[in-house]
Amino acid sequence: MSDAVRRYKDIVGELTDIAGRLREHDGEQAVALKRRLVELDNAMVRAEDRAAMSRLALELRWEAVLEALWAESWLTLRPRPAPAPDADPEQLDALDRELDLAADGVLAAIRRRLPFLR
Amino acid sequence: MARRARRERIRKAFDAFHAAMGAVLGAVERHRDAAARAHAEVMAELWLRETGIDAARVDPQLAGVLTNPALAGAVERVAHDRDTAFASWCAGEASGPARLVDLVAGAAPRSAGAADGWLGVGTAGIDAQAPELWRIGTGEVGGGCEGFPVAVPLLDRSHLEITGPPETRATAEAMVESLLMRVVGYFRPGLVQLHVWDVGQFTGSLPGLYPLTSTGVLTVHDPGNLDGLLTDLSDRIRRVHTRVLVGGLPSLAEHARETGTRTEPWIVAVLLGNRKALADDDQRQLQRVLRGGPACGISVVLVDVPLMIAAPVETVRLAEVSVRPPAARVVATTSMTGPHVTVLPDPPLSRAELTAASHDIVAEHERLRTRVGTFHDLLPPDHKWGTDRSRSGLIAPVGFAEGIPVELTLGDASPHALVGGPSGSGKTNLLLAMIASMAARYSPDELEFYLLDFKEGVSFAQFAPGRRDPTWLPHARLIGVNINTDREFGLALLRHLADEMRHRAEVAKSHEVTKLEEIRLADPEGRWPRIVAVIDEFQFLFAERDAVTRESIRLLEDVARRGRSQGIHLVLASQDVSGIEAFWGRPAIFEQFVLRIGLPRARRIMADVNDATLTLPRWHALINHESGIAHGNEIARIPDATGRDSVEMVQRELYAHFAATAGELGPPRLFDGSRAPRTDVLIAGLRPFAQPPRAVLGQCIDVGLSPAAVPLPRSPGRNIGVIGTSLDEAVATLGTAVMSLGAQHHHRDDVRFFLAPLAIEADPAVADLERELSGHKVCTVRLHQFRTCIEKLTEEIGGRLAGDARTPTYLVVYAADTADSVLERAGTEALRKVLRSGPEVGIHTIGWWRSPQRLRSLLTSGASPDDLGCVVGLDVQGAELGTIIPGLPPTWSPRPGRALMFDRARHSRPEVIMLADPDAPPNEGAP
Repeated sequence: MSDAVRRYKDIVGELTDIAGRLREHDGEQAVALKRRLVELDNAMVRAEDRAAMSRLALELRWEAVLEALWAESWLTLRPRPAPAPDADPEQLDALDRELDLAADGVLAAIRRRLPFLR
Repeated sequence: MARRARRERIRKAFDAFHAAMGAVLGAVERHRDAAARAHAEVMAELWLRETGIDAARVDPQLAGVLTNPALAGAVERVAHDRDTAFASWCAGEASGPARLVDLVAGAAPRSAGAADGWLGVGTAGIDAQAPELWRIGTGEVGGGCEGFPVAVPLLDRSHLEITGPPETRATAEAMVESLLMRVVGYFRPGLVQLHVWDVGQFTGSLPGLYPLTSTGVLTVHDPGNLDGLLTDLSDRIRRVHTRVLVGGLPSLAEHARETGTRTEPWIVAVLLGNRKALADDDQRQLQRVLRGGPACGISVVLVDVPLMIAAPVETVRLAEVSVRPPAARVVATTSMTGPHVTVLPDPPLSRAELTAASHDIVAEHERLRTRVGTFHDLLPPDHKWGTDRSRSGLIAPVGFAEGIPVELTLGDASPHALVGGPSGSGKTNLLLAMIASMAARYSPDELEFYLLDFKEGVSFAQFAPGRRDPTWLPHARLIGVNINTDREFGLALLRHLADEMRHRAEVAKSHEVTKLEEIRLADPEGRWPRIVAVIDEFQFLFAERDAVTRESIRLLEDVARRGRSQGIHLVLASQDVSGIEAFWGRPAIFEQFVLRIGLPRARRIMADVNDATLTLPRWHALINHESGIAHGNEIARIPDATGRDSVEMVQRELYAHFAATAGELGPPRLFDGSRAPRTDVLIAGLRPFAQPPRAVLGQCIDVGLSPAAVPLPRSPGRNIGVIGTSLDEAVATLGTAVMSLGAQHHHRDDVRFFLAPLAIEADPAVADLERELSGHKVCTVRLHQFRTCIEKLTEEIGGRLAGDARTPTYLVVYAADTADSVLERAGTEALRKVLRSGPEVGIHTIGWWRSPQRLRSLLTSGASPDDLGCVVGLDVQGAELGTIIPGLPPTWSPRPGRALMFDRARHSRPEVIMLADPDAPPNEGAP
């Protein structure tokens, strides 16, 4: 190997030492990331469960409202809505409650008749 | 109205419920997505940390990860950590990139390493050292670190292997094109030969370089003939090892450093493959070429040729990677830069600039090729004169090919040379160039020349001192010119060489070694030069069917076979080697003549199917170190060595340079067949007052140029008879004999001379002789006094036998057969008695007879042929002399200036001698 080739490889070889230290650092980071991954796995499961709950409640409410509106033939029913893109997932609980209130509101509006029609 | 109001309430309530549903659905989805994203990001970061971002960047399966905007955060974190880690290498004045920039600037000058503006015609000469590195691209470490040049070793050092997927092939070829242009653009055109072989196509590979094929800078090889290319490369490796690297040097580069000059161009061979393995035989041969190549100036660039390479090689692995915004680029990792550096190949040269540069190179190549190397270009630089060592052989250039010196080698592998070419084809010029080139490189202690020229003319005489130029070539020890009728001199040279060979073999044995190289090591104080014997028109030596030819062949075979190990080399030149009848049926005699040199139109000097000499242009020679087999052909243009200031200048310089050695060794002995040796010079070679005194009759045709002298002790038979009709030759011979005897007898009373010119024509010569012998007792005897003189001598013999003083007495008779008319019977008997009984009492007869028959009839009755101990035949046929000289070869015919001498006491066969001329002018060059 010529002198210049050897010197070139020596200089570039310094990167190998650096890379070694970086690997160690990445290794440490990887350990932490694996722990975090376990937590995130659990969070994903919880999120899925919560979503299932909301969907179930929504389905029940939707059924109930549709049934109540069945007799109101004058009303053109709308299909299920698309998910709102700007809904705040942090407000899911509140949104669930609002849904309940809104469903109740529909049912109440249907039940309330004119005084003389009672 | 009330109904309308109710309906309105219901509608509003439903709208509110619908919107709430959308919100819940949206929130649910985004809630899930958020969790999945967080998971994916951590997952991606884990992959990157575990794989390493450098490896990830070149892994096509992870390309999606690196470019996914959703994972940008993870990628940035990992990349940031990496960049921070490498920042230390990238920062400061002594940063890695800065040091690499400096290093490449020093190791890859000009076109080898410049980033731009380098494309063009090279100027470095063959003696320039090849750059250690050649640029291929820029290296990046990332993180804002400056880029740095990436370069690979190639010429004299390493091979290069480039691999990659099919989509990177165009980049690979562009890299090769640029690299080749850098190499070819560094040196003068012609000093780098390029070869390209593409498994898939004959034309079309590296198209930008195509103009280079027109002058042979680039050779494109048939895809079906990889074997041919590899064989050529193997031959070159073998040739370099056997002819150039003879001194044990490991490589051409080392050789160039040691000697200051390089004699072989560089070769770069590019093999473009298709990722499939080569055939087994090709692989094996390629492996051999790879192993031996760098030492012999051969570098190979392999593109997509799968091979385990057991030789110095650097690798470039190309890959296509995605970059943001979505696009692909080709990057590389190389063995020079390691896995943590991404190499961006330099952008390809445009076809237009590539083609233009190729045309420029070709034009310059054409211009240089037609430039003729001069005689002075053959010579080494001033400070290198006489510094080479001939321990392993002799190597010297004699001509040029493509501006590169073409050398002759005389050594173990090629001990002897045959030079062939018709008259006027440049043989003598080539021999002179060879002699001058070798003499300039090796001192007289390393190299000696013995030069014989059988043709008429004096080409080698210039190496001896002369009137016009008193200098001589210190290396020349013996020079023979105009010897076409003196074949004995050629024989004498062969005898001398055989003796020297025997002497060296004995010395080797005494040191328990076998070769000259080893003798030198065992006896470092001794003087053991290599001897080169050059014989021009050597066919003359074997022209006759006689003893000279027979013995010459025997000696030639002996020296040819055994001279190699003792450092004795023959260079034989001839117009027609095959016409030498003596060698028919002895083809093996030239087996040792491995070096063959053919001049234009030479026939039968090379192997049968090698007829390249027939198409050689003027001033060129075909030089072949492979016994004439075609693959060993090298064509060289031989510069003019006969012009003024060429060989003469070299001789003067060497004479001055080696003045001390030249003084010690003395000038070379010069044998000139056209000039009679001088009597005074021959006599000066005798020891004065030697006993017994010796009569010089002429000069031996031998290497020592020794006098042909006959001792004349007081013994029966010690008389000399000269037979022939030529007055001049007879007179000269007798005169030389008498003067030599006179010079050996110092005191006047020591000797008596009786000079008897019995023919008037001899009077002037005798008168001259009397004057020369003025310090001695001389008595001139005329015809009418002759009988009385003889009878007195007879009486004196009787007295001496009884005890009288035996003063040396010499009876010199000119045209002795004339005496018949005055001697009568009694006188004849007396003369017989003088011949028979005179020598033992110190009376010697030196006589000239014009008729062998008359002499024969004298040597009867009281005398016999034995009484004439030494006979010299001048212009008489061998058959006539046969009555007096037994065993005379019947083929002797008179030769002007030559005589056949036979001394019964010393010779088993008659010898040819040169007659001296007492009046000859000083020889040009004779010592």
